[in-house]
Amino acid sequence: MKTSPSQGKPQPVAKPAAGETKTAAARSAHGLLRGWMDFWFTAISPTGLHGLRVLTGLLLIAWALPFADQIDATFSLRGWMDAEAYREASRQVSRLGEETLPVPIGWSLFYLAGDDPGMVRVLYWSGIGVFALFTLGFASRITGILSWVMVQSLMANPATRFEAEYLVSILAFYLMIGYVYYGQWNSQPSLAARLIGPRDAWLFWRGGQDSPRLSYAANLTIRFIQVHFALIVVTSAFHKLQFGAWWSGVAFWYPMHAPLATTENDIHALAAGRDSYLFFLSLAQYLVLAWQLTFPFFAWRTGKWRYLLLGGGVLGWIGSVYIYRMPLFGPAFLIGFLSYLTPAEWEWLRDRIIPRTSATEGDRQSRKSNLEIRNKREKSD
Amino acid sequence: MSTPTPRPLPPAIKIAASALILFHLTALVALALTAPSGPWPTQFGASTALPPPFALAVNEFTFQHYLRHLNMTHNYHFQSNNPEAPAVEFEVKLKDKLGSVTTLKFPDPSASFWVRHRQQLLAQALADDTPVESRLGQIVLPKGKKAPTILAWKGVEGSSILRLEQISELELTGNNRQMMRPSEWSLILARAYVRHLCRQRGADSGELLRRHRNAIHPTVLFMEGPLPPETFEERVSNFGEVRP
Repeated sequence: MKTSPSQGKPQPVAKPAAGETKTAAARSAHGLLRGWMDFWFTAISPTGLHGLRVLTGLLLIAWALPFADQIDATFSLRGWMDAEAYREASRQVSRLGEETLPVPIGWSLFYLAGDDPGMVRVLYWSGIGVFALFTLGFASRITGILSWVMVQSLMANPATRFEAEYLVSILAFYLMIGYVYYGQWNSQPSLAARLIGPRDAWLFWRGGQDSPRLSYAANLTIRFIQVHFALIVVTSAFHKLQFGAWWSGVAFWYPMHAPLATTENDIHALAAGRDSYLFFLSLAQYLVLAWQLTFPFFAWRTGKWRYLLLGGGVLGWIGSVYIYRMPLFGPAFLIGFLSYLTPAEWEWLRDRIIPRTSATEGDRQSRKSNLEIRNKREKSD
Repeated sequence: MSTPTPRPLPPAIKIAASALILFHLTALVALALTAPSGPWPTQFGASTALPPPFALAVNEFTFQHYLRHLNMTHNYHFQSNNPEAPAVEFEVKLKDKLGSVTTLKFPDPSASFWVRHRQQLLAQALADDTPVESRLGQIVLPKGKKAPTILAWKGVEGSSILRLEQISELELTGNNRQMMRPSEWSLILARAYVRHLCRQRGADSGELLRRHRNAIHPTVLFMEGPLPPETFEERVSNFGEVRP
């Protein structure tokens, strides 16, 4: 085999000329800018937006409804956190500063009801009604805003606030933004549709003569949810690394052996198989940490990576209930993770949940070609 | 029938929206970065680390003027990330006008899962004790002036229950024993909850007793024979009598 004379010898690296460096920098800046614009400002099918709305709406109802027999206790100014407690908190803020409160005192519609229990009940049931209408997609522009307002009001009580409610609040906020703008640009809506929302947001809308419109608002909303949830997952992972128990792999031990429920006999029973028990406990815990820390690297990938994303979400839900006895975190995170599905994946999912038996052959052909175009575009991206 | 091609967005809208997106995301990242971290070992003992100044500067503005109005005030440092939190329950002894006592336990086993969970959150918030700083030097007071006092947990002879008492700072001088006090917030919550139960059940007064146990460390698995008694030591603290 012939070799060129220069083979095996170190080759001088050709330095790019000043003009070439400038061009490369300009190209990468242009690529970055184009990537940013494509990421945030691409019109997509609204199926994902509607899917997230329905799931979030169901979660809002499931979250608020269990307090139906505790309305006064949970939401009124005669409940767990009464008017006197708010006054004491206010005095504490002026004396010691707001940072001495675990949560800032926010705003709530329930404060307007004062200590009138009837008014508090009316507000509560109105909130449940608003959540139901938003889930259905009725007047989605209005019910989207009202849903967010009700979420803020229902989670305002600092004595009963649960951290997972912030996740619900985030979903409600971005969906509100999405539905305020949805259908305003790419159609010629009537004044009524402009004010209360387009009819294709209705859950049982089957299209009729119209075809689904691509939407910038749907993309913007979904991108916000994606980026925000990635930030939450990674920040929470770094916070975990501030505790020795997470480094030593025994973080799950503590919630699984609650001090008030564990007896000496339980400990002795575990001691016989402690090595294998701690081995698997620490392995599971490190897998959770690895999943969280690498989340942004797989969340946006399609194909088999979806098993990692959604499987992790489902296992996290089971773990948060079984190990931590905490409701709400699991479903809220899972909805956040579903936001990473592409429009094509959402449509695939929808067609399996709601078979379109009434669709015409034309509809089916149109849907098929749309899916193909989107799949091609996603692959090229 | 085909999907209509979307009208392109004008560059001005894209630029304005990009600025808003950047502002929003910057506010969220700054909030996450300004969460207190630690305590970390330092040459002066364990201490929480200061947040990065750039994030602090951004957050001071965005938190007050933007995030708090949207209620996006959580920094994603979840309490459940701290595995070694103590386990807490509480009971409230309600007294009626005739002096008969009814004791209610929380979390209430008969309540629904969701309500019980909120009661558990309340119990956890009652256990946010902080150490009382002891004085190293001597306190010299002007003639006729009493030493300032501080509300702290104090054991009572003949009882294992800690009670809240006003303790003179003179008592803390040169004291090697670490004293603890409830946070102001837990006092507000305890009083409010007792008032609520008194109103709900028509009681004249109530007393809240907190029971808590420290987390069980997994090293107990490696101990031979009976476990040390402090493993399951339960501490009871009385928040005092409250009237509605």
